[in-house]
Amino acid sequence: MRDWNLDKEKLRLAVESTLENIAFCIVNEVEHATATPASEMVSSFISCTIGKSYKVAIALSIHEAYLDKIVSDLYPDAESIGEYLQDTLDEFINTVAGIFFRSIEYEIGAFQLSIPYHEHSAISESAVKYYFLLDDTHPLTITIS
Amino acid sequence: MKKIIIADDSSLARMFTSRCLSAGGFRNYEVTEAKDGQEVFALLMETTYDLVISDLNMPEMDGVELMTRISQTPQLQSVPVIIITSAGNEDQRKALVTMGAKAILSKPITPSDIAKAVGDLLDAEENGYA
Repeated sequence: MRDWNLDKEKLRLAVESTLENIAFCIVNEVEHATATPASEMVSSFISCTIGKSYKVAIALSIHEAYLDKIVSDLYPDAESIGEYLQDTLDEFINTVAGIFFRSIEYEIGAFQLSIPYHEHSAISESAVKYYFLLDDTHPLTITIS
Repeated sequence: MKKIIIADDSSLARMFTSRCLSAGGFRNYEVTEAKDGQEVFALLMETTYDLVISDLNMPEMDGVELMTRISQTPQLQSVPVIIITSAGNEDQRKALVTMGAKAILSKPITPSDIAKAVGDLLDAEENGYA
């Protein structure tokens, strides 16, 4: 099993590239999670099948108030942004996962990403987590398990 | 005016690709959006389009199946297809090119990515070597 702790830099680059290019957001990596209630975070999940059977799940979680802000900026003419919130998060994780797994493809070999999904069992304690901040207070978390 | 289909199950991805097309200098195009390959195929059977820009991983009908259907439909075989994908490993990319994809771009695309891909395609068409 791969030690995902070794890929921190590549994942950071994937998150930065995605958020900056698509949403013009600057993200900063931080060492620890913020004290944000889970109820204030929204998540999207994607799984990656490596080879024929090894599966990895990545979760992207963002503070819902900041996601509202991102989506409002992306769709300035929309009367209501509700329909775009999950779609935007799904596209973020889709792009992050693509950049990340392409960057390690020479090590892991052929891979296949799923379509993003929203129902997931509880993230295991052994999952590797990376923490970022969007501006000074709003967290973004990536989890690999 | 050239007609382009942009296909992706993500509303954001469709909007972003359209925005990149415009920022890349391609403003005199009529863009039609589609959510999956089935919608693209239905549109192609109704109206003549000059270009399809499609995601790979879509529900209902993905980019691979769409390309297969296009290649098997005589009246659609000349429609150029550019694939935009978040992943697409090397084997998949080679398979897509073999199936007829004119270019494969990785997300997140930039205006210059799309400008080069579409520009190269248009140059080739105008000079008879598409």
